[in-house]
Amino acid sequence: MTALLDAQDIRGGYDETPILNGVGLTIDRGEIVTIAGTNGSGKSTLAKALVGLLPRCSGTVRFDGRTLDAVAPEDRPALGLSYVPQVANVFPELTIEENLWVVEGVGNRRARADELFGRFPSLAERRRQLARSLSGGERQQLAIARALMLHPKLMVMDEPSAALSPRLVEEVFALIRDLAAQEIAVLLVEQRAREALAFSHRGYIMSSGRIVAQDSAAALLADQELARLFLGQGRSNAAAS
Amino acid sequence: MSSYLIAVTTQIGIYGLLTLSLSLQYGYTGLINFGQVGFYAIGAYAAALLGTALGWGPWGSLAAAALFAAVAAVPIGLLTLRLREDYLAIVTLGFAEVVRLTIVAEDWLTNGTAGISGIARPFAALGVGIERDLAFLALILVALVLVAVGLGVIVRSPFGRIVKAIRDDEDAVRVLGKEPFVPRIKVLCLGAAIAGFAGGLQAQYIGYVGPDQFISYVTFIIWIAMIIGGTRSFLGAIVGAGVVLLFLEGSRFLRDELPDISETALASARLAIVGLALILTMLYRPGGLVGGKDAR
Repeated sequence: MTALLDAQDIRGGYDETPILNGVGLTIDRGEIVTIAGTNGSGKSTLAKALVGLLPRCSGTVRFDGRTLDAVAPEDRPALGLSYVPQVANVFPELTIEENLWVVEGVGNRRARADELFGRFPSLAERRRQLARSLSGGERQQLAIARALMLHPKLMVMDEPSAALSPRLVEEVFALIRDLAAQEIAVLLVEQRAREALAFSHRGYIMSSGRIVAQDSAAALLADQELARLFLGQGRSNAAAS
Repeated sequence: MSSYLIAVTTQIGIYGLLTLSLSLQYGYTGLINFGQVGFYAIGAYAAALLGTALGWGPWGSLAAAALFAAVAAVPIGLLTLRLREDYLAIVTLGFAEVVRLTIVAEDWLTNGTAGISGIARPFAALGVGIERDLAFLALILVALVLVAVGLGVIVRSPFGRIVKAIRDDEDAVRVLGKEPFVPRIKVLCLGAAIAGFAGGLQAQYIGYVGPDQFISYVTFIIWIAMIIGGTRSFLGAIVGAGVVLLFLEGSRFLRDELPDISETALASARLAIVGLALILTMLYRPGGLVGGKDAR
């Protein structure tokens, strides 16, 4: 079986200074893949490159059997590639339901939004409130729900746990596990690498814009040296800065 | 109702339209347009030239004023709206100056600094007098209400959702499958059309257009009116225009009370007070007089 996403030799950045220096990765259908690495290693930049938001970018991205190079970022969601940005991931001045309705290319957007409200009852209760009234965890839920509007095959998530309390992190991670159970692949860019790897299938570790290690999640977690260098010393939250 | 009051209310109505157009562009869409006076001027000159040289009726001239200004916005949008938002600010500021200088330079078309007079107004049947002024004021107020209500409908529509989402985060809109460029250019054109329409009304109201009426001062007065009234409220735009214009007009009477102060000093003092009001608004009422709650 060919990979759902196959990226080769991705290079680029925001200006002349390259941040990614030739990154390759693959993701299979329904697979959870974590990208870990220290701050500034290029993890979030890689996520942006895959969804087409990096201003300067070279390399090849194949997704679901087609090459994405000539596909504009706004045309990628319709192919099944969703992105949940780290910050500003909801529209604060729109209501919760409007945040879902704003997605383009859904056959019946209201019906699809209602379906998703069934899965996110706490959002459904407040659907007519402005999204800025939501807490960090609820915003993350809304961002995920919004990314689900188009029935994605792969969700690229940039630090969904950022700025969340440990309990909320657990909730968001549970949501992500749930996505994989529905055959939605997830590419997770995470500071909380140990916790993320604990439920991932595979992982990549980045440093200075390159992949320095890749393996099954269990093998990465078991490697003492890698763990010391890139995943932080402690268990659980120590990896989160 | 004295004719002075009618005159002030007419000006408030015209500036209210300008402020509404800016509120749509900036408050709801995040477009920084520092050249609204350019579109206003294009509308005014379109109405003036069509009404005098080509003998169009006042109604047709008004419609053309809106259309010309909207068309003028297309190249500006094509040039700048794919770039970062500050480019629009700089380009529109320059554009408005280019419009004014073109008016000054192109004598054969615009009669240069001498301007164009004899622009006909609607309601000619009412003769010259207070009835016609009142009828024209009524026309402006009806237009103001219709534009405000129409814009209210637009920002609540699916198109309005996209527009507000673009203001919040352009990239996020893009990864949800919508290219933000087309909605932004539509908003730029619609705002320009409203400004052009206001320009047409102004030309017909004064009966004369000249390049001195279209300096950047106008743009900044409507920015101040919008901020004082509330950037994200169409009612706020009208209130802001009312407050600023009432002050600017009303303070002329200070002249009689303070005979020792020179004309220039007083004019500067009026602007300083408007500036102070702007600063105080931003400090103590950042949402504007009608802001606070978001007008969804």
